Amino acid sequence: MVRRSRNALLSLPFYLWLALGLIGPIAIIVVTSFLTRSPFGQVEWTFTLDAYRTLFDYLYLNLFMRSLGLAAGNTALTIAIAYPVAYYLTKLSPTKRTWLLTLILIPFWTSFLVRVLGFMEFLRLEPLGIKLLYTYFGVLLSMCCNYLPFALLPLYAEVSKIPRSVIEAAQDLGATRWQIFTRVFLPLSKRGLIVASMLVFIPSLGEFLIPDLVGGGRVYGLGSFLQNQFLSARNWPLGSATLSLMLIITFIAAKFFLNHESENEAMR
Amino acid sequence: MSGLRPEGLKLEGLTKTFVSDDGRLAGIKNCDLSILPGEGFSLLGPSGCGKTTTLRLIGGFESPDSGKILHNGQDITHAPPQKRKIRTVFQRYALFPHLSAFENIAFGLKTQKKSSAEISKKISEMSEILDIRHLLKRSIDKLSGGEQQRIALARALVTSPDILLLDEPLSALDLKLREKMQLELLELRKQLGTTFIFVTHDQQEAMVLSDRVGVMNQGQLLQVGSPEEIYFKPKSKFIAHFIGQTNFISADFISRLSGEREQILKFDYKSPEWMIRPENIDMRPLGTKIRDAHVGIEATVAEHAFLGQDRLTKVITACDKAILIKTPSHEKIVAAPGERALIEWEIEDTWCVEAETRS
Amino acid sequence: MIVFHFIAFLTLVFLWSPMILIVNKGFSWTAVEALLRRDDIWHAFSNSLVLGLGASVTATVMGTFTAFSMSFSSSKTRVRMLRGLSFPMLLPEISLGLAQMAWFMSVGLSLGWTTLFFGHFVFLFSYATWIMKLRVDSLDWSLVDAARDLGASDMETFKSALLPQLMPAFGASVFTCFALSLDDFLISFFVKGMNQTTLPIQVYGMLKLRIQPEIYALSLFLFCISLAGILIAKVCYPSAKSKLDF
Repeated sequence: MVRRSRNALLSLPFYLWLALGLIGPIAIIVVTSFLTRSPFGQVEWTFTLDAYRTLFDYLYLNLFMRSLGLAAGNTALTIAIAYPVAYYLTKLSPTKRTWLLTLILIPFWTSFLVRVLGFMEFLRLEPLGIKLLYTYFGVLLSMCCNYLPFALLPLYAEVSKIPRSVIEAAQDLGATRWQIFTRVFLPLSKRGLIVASMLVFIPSLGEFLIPDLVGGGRVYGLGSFLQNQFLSARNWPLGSATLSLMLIITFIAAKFFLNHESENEAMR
Repeated sequence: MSGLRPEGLKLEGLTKTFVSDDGRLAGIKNCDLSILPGEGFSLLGPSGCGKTTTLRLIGGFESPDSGKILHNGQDITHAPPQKRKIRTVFQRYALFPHLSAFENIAFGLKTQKKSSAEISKKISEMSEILDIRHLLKRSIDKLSGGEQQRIALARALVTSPDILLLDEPLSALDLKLREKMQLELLELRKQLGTTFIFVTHDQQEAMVLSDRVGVMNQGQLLQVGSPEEIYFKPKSKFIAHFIGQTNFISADFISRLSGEREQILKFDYKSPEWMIRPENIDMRPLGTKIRDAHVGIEATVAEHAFLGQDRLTKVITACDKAILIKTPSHEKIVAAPGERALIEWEIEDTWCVEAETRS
Repeated sequence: MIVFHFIAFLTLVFLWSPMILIVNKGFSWTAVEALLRRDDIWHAFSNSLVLGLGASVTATVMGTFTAFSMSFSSSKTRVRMLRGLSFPMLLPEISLGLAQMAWFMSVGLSLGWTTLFFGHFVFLFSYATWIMKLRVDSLDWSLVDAARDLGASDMETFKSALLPQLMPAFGASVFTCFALSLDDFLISFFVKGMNQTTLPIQVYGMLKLRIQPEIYALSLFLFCISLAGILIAKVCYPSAKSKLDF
């Protein structure tokens, strides 16, 4: 239908974007991770594994682990809240459902920084009587609030597909509410849970603004570390090594997630 | 509790009204019904008549506004589905997609905390009865509609309920499969002795599957009786119209033909109409003498329609009334379209119904 | 069941309280006055607008080409292209920003408008292509046949048969990309030049210093713009159920 040459022309933007916007930058990072840092913060073209060695030094590994912990904690908390809300949505009438969804999503249409400022103000007020601003838990809470729709939407999409009759069949066959949840509801929402986890966990790994602003520099995550290495400490190889590691983790998680997705695509 | 003679299911004054998705008032009003143990009973009616609501109330998925449901003397009106000895086969089967066929069937037994040995034994027995042994290991999405239905039946029946509720069980199957399943369901019920309650809008299905039929419309239970009763002696024009085809003739017309006013006066309906089923009408060549105990008039043939086993003929009388006649198609055609013939029927075959006023 | 009511309610409280607090504080005359005096903020704002519009339109146009290219390719190529497109959407933004910065510097580009523009274009491209792909996949090609049948040239066919069908999605894509670009901090932060600033970067700077009253007014202003944006979107696409479908 369309001549090969025409299609080649049409796809040119894509391949240019891929090469110059994605592959090039990633390649540079990977390459830089194997280079040496010169005394003045430049980069010397000498192959070395120093950057990776430093990274696996327990100090830095500790940092890495803490960031992973923060991301994991955020994911767990966000899903713990989004899951019941998603279920709740399916129990509402269609009009109420749209209203609730819209109400939840409106704050997310505002600028991210505005929301962060909002969190800071909110935490400053110490709603539960405890000091939350500039603390780890405050950061966690803010991140959770920020990532909620990333978990809610896929969970809701999956949960709303569970036919009511299947739940009624389980009731009919004598299952208690807890049994219905564990034996029917949970297995049938597995896919949504995986998608939600991926969509929250991966971006939280590189979260920089919230730990920086809400945490006031006291909560030090990967994001802050990277910013530090690249701009202040000017240790590009170390920063690149960290980035490469993060990319690998993302790549593995994304591969797992995309494979799962394409399995479903193939079955359709 | 046990040891009592089972009394079956009783609905007393059951009422539930609600606004359906398209804004209409739906549900049932003051429904009284008794269903005997081991009976095959159908709730029949057009969509929106309340039959599904009734089924869901019996199954425990809805709570009535007022009224009672008694099962073997026990009040189960507000009991949740888990606590009733009643199982439901849902319209689209509602099989658990993440479990295999075997695991689906085992579900109800697992919640009853039966041992694996007992579960295997019961499923084995049920597989014999329903001929599904070869399907047990399969996952649900690899089963055809008919196979899914059997698994759904097995899942419900393996827990030995007193009553099985079936919501339009055969509507998703094609004709041949439907006919086969109708007979199988009949045999299944006789074999197990379980009470089967069906909900259907297909009157032919209701008649095949049930000992008794309850016809519903607009939330009311209009008539309960055997299929023959419903077919030959319907109580209202609506029921007569809903079940099979029929002709309606006014009282005047009949009396002019027969001169037997006494028969008309026997029924005191407000607005009586007489019905005669097309298969009870014979067509004869013009000029034939009308037989004893028969009523006959002359009419012009409008058209013939070949239905396979039968032939449907439409004739128009002198006063422009259209009448349908059904004859076996192997019989010779008495008159071609445009020609005139005598149509006659036995007076005994006419039946009087109440012509309802539209509410 | 009441537990669920409670959770949903609590969620709304936690999501809206920050907003309400800001609106409250931003609604004072002093804050607004202070805001209006800050030229640097308005300069950053206009930067963001120009950048956003430019990058969005470019990304959408390129995205449209790509969407068409995908629909003409074999399914194997299509899946691979889709994977490539989706990958940056899954990456943490900070890695994209840093990698871009390293890349630009290593090829000798000094950080400035070009790099800022390209940086935005790169991350917007995925979203634009996704949105246009949704539309291109469901195009009615019989209109093209009809136009050809009636003797239209290639350009005329495109203008009358394809363009009208693409326009709504085009608008939606530009709109979405514009919102994303306007809100971007991480990528802009690393790929911008020394003296450049965009609105989010400006706000970040202000937040790190000390809380001045004009911040609240600015936040209120941005919040109102977002609401206006949602309303405009609702008016233009009344049948869309969420911001995810068109």
